[in-house]
Amino acid sequence: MSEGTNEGGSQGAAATSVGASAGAAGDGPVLEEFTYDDGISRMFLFATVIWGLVATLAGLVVALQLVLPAGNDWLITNGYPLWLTDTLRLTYEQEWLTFGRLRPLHTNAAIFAFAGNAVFTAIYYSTQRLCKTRMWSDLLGRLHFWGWQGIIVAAAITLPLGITQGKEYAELEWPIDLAIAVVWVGFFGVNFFMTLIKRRERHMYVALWFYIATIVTVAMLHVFNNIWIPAGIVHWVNTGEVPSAELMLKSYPVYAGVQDALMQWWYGHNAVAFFLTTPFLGLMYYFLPKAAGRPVFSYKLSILHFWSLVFIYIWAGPHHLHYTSLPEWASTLGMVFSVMLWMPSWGGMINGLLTLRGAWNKVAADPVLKFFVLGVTFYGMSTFEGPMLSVKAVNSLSHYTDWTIAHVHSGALGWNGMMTFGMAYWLLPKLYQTKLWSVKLCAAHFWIATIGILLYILPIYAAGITQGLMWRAFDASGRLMYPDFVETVVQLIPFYWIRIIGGSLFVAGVVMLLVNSIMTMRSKPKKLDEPVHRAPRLTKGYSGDPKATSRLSAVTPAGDKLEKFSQLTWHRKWERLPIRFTVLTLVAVAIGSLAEAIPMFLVRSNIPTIASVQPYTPLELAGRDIYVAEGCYNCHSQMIRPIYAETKRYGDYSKPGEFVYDHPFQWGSRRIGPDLAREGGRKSDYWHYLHFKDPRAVQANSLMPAYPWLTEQDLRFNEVQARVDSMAMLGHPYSSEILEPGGAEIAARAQAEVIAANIIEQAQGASVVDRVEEKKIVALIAYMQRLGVDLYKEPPAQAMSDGALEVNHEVQ
Amino acid sequence: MRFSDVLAALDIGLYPIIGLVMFVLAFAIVAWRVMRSTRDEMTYNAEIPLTDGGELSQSTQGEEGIDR
Repeated sequence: MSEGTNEGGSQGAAATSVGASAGAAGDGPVLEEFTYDDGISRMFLFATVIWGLVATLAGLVVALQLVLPAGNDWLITNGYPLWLTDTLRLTYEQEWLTFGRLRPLHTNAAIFAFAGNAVFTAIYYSTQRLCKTRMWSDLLGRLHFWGWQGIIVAAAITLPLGITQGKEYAELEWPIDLAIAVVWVGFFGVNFFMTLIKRRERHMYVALWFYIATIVTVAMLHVFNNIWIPAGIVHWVNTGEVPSAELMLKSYPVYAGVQDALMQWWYGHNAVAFFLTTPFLGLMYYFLPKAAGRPVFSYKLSILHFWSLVFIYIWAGPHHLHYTSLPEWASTLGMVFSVMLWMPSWGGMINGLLTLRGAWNKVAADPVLKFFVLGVTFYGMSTFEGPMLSVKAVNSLSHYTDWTIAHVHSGALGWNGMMTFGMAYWLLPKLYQTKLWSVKLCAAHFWIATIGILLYILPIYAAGITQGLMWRAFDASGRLMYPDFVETVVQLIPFYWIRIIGGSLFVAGVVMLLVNSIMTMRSKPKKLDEPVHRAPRLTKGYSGDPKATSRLSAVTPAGDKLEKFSQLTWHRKWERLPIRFTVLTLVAVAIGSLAEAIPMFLVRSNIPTIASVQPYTPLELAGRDIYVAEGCYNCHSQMIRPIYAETKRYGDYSKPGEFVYDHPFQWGSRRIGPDLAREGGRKSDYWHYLHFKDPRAVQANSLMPAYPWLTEQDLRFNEVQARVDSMAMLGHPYSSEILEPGGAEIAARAQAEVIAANIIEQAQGASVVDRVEEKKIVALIAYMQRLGVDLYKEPPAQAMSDGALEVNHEVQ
Repeated sequence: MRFSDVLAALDIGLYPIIGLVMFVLAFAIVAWRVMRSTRDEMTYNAEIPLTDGGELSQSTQGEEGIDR
């Protein structure tokens, strides 16, 4: 690492005489010549714009899918032509494009494709300039770019195919996970840190600190949240048979239930923190001063901002799990640190806005600054709202409602979107060495995006609060005022239509950016200039820091050392050492992570087991995998909170021990449909059959897409064994008959026959598909009928003798 | 006695307190470092983005480059 000095230090670089040549001997510092690799920034910037359009369009489609079923029914009733209604139906009832499959595509595209490429654009552009050096390796930069685009394309193919881990923002299956680790650490991380090491600017500017925190923490989150068993590989190794592509790509997380939930939201919340916040703060600290032409308001505040933020943020994940089966100590811990997060977040916002002190006249004239000002303002609003939502009393109303969706979009569109657009418009003329094609179009983009965001979030806030209040409304006789869940959904449709208008405006803004980008690129010089810069190389043995001196040397050696220590010259030195600084950052984020994970994984009393809760049968397991593949968790929770309105509506509240066989957990985070934690036994098998085939046949006004293919596609019974074997590897106590080769298939077929017979009997002569016992729908029905029923069963004798606790419960 | 037994025996309310104390300590160290810094040092650091191009030498096309 670069530790030491050049003669005069890098601070003298700007003052070095222009006439000095590289390697020339003389009294002054030796200057080295270098150029910047702006090609990589251009590539990432273009990808940002393209994926921005894809992500927002996907969002618009999923928003439409929530209103189209009702809208299409209206068209049909009013005699509109069939070709129109059938075409519309395709957009929400086509196997590859259902809401459950497309929504993860939208979120992944927005986070990892749009915001991700924007982050890389910012990092590649600013790191080189802040370090006064070219990136360490052009090749690694290109591998990073193409590797990341390949990952995005892989996500765009696999998610619509239902290939998913079923964990929010971590849906991508294991081969893509491995690719992410290689590209993030091996290409991006190595290139970034090697660039830091060979830099020519002694002080690492605070933006680089935020980039460091981003790279190491995201790597840590990704690795620990994606520890899985690949079912297909297990099957291949055990039997020598090559599994189908579907099974080959299937994995199960090693964590289950409560522990999986803690890991997932530790990851999920910190994906927001370290993928959507810290790199964008780095972006803010670099590009806002550049655009404003003045230094950041307070560098001291930026240091406090950085360390407070990285230390506190990592603890906050459990606030996503208030009133769930997560132990209360963890939930409270998450809440306390979330509230503390207010302080650094607003420190950063104030630092950003006050950077413009005395330059507000520029904001009026420059749309780039307008984007930045609005972005930072949304950062302040989102980081005020986030801690507020983490307070348990507020969360009891907001959780599972659209309030969370509004909050997320306030951050994603307002903070990440506006900062990205500001950066893009600032960079375009510089990267292409020409004028921006149209400043007016840029200004129009700002206003249309601003109006679009407001038209998006305001109705969705209203929708969220409406939902929350309707769920908990009781009439004078103490009964639920809206016992039919769909009543609470129908009320949201007008809000959803307004959101579509807002979303369309935002998409129109992205199209404006695309047009402006392409036209600016077209007007670039035939050959782009590559200016050569010069700066002195950093040499070892730097001694420019003030020495720590002690006034206590005559008192005691300990007092002497303490006095020197307290002057913190060591910290100043560490700020220049990338590796040591990185380790410090890692320690800061590891403290919060370990403080939550270690007790959760080691203290048995956190998750009292329930003797009657048994592993899923082979058919139920296969059905559960279909539930995960269809992304049902995007609309349905499986977690009844100990809140009266919920137990009244859904049944007994969920216990931690009920989820010990859930790999992955499926608690969900929103309810467009009702909770399913106690769905088992509530409806007949035939009702489920009809409901999956055509939800509106049994539930008028339902928003749920139809799943007719589940009645058409055969279940691969021969691969059920591989799923069961994977669970057995994770410690699920299956009997020896089930674990014998072919045993799981025999058990699955037997259960399927029973369910098929039920469906035919309950249909009372109505049409049922041929060989229904072979179809996927039977497995999914088996799973649905198992949900939440174990709590009321007699525990098997073996389980009682194994020492599992029997939980007392009251049947509602 | 295993580590998990020790953890189980601890009052769970200690965790937020320990976390808070650790944060306060870390914050105090950083705040102290910030207070001890000189105005010159902070001014120099804050202006790094504004002088980040390095000293411009020449463009590859023989013309004066664009200072970015």
